[in-house]
Amino acid sequence: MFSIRHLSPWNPWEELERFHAEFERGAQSLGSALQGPSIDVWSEGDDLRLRALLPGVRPEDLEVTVEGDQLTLRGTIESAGAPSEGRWIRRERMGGSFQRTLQLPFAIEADAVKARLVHGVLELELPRAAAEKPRKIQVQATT
Amino acid sequence: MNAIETRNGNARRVTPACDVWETKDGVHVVAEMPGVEAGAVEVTVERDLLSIRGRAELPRPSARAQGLTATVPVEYLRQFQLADTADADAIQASAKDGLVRVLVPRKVPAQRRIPVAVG
Repeated sequence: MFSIRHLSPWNPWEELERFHAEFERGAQSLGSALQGPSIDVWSEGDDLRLRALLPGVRPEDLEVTVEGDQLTLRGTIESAGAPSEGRWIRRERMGGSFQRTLQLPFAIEADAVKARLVHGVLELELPRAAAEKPRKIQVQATT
Repeated sequence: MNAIETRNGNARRVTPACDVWETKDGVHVVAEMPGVEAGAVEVTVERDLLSIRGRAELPRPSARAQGLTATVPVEYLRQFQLADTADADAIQASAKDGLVRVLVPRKVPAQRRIPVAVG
């Protein structure tokens, strides 16, 4: 079967243009995959709080690990399910697995971390490790 | 997430990223609306314009330090133009894990049986 493209006169630039368009598209999707989910971290008192927007991530598909001052979020974003018998009209979402490791300003008490993921919003309470909390040093008066 | 944000008073107005595809059943839309539960989704059709709205209260980063409320209201809105073949009366919507799914079924062509007179 002949497609329209085969019937049109040969354009030497067409292949190059198509390659360029595909490269751009690939670079864009790679960019969003590298960027990963949107994450905010802030301090609250002695501790840290984190909010990540993870639409399409089920609680069972998310892993949060803390090691000292490093926090890693690893998960799988539910993709739309590529239509095998349909056709895409618009594809803007990122699907598949992601991993983000953040360097935090201090070590975290891993056992005391509280995490909840509700309707695609992750909230973490990250208490500062006791050993890292500022300690008051008693100044001894010299006689 | 690839969303566009503006402001509407106190609320953040977000145009969510969407996947849209077509099958023999109709047009499927998946919109990213983190924080939105099923009861806060509103799908409307006005003429040929499909509107998918969602409302959520998201935790506000650094709220206490700024003396602000702990959450910030977010309004999601995405609109699509429907084809003539869309059955606006049969649209289905659901929400789970921050994703809103909408199916716009294809209209089944009305069939009329034409009686053939004998004689």
